Amino acid sequence: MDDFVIPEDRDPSLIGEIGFAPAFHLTLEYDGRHIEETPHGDRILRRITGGTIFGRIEGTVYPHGAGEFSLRREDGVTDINGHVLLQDDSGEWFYIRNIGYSREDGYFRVSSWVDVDVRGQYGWALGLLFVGIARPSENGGLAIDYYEVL
Amino acid sequence: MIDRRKILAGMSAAGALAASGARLHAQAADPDPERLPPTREMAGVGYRWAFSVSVFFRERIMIEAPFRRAFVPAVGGAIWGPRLQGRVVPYGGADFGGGGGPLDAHYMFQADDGHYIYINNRAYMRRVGLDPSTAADRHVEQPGPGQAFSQEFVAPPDSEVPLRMRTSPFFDAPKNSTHDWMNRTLFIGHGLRRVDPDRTIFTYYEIL
Repeated sequence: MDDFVIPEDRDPSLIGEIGFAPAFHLTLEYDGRHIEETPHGDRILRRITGGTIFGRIEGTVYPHGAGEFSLRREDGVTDINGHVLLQDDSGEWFYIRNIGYSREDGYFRVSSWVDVDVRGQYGWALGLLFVGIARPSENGGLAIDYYEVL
Repeated sequence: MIDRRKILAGMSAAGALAASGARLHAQAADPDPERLPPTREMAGVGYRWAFSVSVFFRERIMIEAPFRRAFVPAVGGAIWGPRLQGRVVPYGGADFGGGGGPLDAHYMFQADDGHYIYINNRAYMRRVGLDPSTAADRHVEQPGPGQAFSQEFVAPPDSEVPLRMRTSPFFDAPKNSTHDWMNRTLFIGHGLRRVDPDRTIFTYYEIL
């Protein structure tokens, strides 16, 4: 085992299967952007000022304090770093974290997880990963379709 | 369904070609699509097997801090598949996950062409059938006076405790290499626990 190779591990039957199932859709609204040159690249600072979520979770984006702090790198790719707080119609809070890549060719993918309250109704979302496919929406916003990773 | 055996058979030859070609063409573009596994799609999400990694473990330490901290170093491992071949650098990092949140591993790959690649792997291990909300209530037994306590823990194989282990790895790969694509591609990983020896087999898919 010194070389850490176990030939049986390479059996095609051990290529673990994943899958995807539609979960929810998120729209985000921003009030503009500030771009600052930093040692890491161009930091793109955007306040998230509104939005909605619908699908398996329904609610609205809390418009005070959510934000996106993404980094445009020298190779033109943007490292997405978004933090969103939301509330459903009954007032229950939850959090979505988005990290991923936005490229100049239009590829915009994030992986996400949702932190929900164990006292509430969204326990099913705990311990799951989601993939988001994002596209620009009207007025400089963003629309993200999320899929649960199966 | 794709025939994985057929793909894999073609893969080993392609892998050898890619490895030797890497030295000659360090800045090569994406590989020949014909050498890649077929693109798959579910619910509108396109994805494709990129490579697999077996990561071997020995130490499994749990620090019962208020927000908990695991320490599980990668003692070594192997990387194989269509888009990356190499090894896991022995003791080149660990899972340092804590807080009941995603596990949070930081370690190093070394590709067959010699380049090092940093992986930050965040993952959830959700027990099949377990209500994760029960994990919010954690009791930590205090040792009696003069009593020793153990910080070791074991991780059973999937056959004993089925896990839905999915990961979201991010890589830092050298930009002037054939691995640059890893710097701009979203991946999702599948984890499979094995023991004797203690290891996890990760299957990484690129999200297209």
